Amino acid sequence: MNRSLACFFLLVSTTLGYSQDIPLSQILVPAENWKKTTLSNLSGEFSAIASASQGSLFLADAKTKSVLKLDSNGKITEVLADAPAKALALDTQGGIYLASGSNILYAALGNTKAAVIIEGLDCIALCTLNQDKCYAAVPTEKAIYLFDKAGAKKKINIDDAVISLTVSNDETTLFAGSADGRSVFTFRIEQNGDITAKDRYVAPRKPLAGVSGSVPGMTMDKANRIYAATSLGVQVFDPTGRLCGVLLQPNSPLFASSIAFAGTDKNTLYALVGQKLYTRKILFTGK
Amino acid sequence: MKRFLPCACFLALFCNFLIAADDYVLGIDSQPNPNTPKGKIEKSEWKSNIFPGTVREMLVYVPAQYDGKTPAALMIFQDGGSYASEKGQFRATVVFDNLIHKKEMPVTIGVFLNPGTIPASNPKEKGRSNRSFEYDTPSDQYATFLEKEILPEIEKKYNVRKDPAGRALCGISSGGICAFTAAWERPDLFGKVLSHVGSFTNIRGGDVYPGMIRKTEKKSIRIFLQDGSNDLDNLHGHWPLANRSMAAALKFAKYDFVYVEGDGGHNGKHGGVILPESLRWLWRE
Repeated sequence: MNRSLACFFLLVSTTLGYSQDIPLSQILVPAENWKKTTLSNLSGEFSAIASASQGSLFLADAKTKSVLKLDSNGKITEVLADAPAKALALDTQGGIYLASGSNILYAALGNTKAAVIIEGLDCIALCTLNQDKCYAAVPTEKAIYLFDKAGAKKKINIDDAVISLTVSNDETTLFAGSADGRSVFTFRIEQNGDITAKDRYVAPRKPLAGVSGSVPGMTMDKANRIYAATSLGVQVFDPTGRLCGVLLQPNSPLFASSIAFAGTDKNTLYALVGQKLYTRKILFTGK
Repeated sequence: MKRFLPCACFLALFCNFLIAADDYVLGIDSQPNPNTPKGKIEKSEWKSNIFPGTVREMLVYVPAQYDGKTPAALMIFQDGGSYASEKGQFRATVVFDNLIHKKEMPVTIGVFLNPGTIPASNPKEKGRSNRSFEYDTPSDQYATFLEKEILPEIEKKYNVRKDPAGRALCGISSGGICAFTAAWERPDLFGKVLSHVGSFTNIRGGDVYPGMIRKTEKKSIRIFLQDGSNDLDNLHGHWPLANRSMAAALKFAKYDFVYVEGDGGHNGKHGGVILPESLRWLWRE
């Protein structure tokens, strides 16, 4: 065992390690940059995005107050009407959770209208678990809520305001981006979905001056690398929380508020900047 | 003969290039000696609150010369399992046995701590490593963990020195910068640091130290740094340059330090071979 440990620390600090120590040259496609996406026949103004497992991207249209689905072939369909949303998340059955005003709504796959399942929750970010549960970040309460599509909820006080959420591929860890940009917290996910063992696992790089830091959006790739939308750019961290690099802003000085992987191979990173959508192909695949 | 000599020279030169760096060989003080009294090792598991949810293995080495009456020196090794292994690159417990017996270092209790992991709630899933977070972060959290959790546990059972000159920290790679960070944050607790191929690079902002050392009033810490000229050069930084920068800063600020650079890579071969002399230097009066 001790010999294995000696080999372990050698491996984890070299480029042979599992998804660690990856420089930007191994993340970015050469000569590829952010592109502003103009989706035809659409307002082009979005308030939230979220990805589904098949590579589709769901967008909350800020003008028409509907939820649209952009599938991996580029086809756009309206899936929900009358559904203004500031956060979206998809469950494994294709159902959609929305944070809308101070309510949380849910629409099962095939339904064109979402129903209110929780009232009075000023949620800013959503993230689903495979076990038909969902987390909601409520920064005004310094809490994360765990709830299901029937609306049964549990408040978990975390003593910090967090504004973005993502879950590891194996659903053992919840990552939560802080409003002050100082940290991405980690929590251990218990078998019932409860979260424990909070710590400041990831320290995003902060701007040297000017705009204060925050972590308004996060997503994850298949190797558990964390992508955090920050005021500095999209920061990529390896699974142990070490910074791999910072992708420049799609439209500096504005910064991305939400990011998601989508596309045929799920290797296109979508970023919501202001209310505009940008894309960038990278070398890794989203979870 | 005329042709033989140039060929022989060429062959010798060629062979020299074939011999890899890292061809270090452990010396006699790293070998078990049947005439040297052997210390005892106790293994346990530690669950932390300072690093919530983590569990880690802890080995405590108590030398045969420890009598319980005279306070023993204390040395805490990060990635402890690899340092304690009697077949590993360091064999610290064997070296302790030999040096303590020859009175070349004080009677010292060794604490060999592994980094924490956070077990998954589902036993079928892998736990999350906390090593980089604990070791690479330049903050006082690890020092607080040692102060509030490990030291009290050791002091419950053993009579150990409380003065910082009687307490040392050691680590390799991220463990090396961890050892430095804890002593930097709490020089009132730890006065000696031994770092092997220390990661004084920008993994989590640890490249800040040379500048901080130059502009901070000198702290009472004795530091032994070891690195190799073929150590890592990657996205986080250049290890030999980072260690040289640390050495230059420590020299500028007039620290009691030594920097030894071999030709090895990112491993413990060189550090292991010079461990006996490192400990003699670190623990000298």
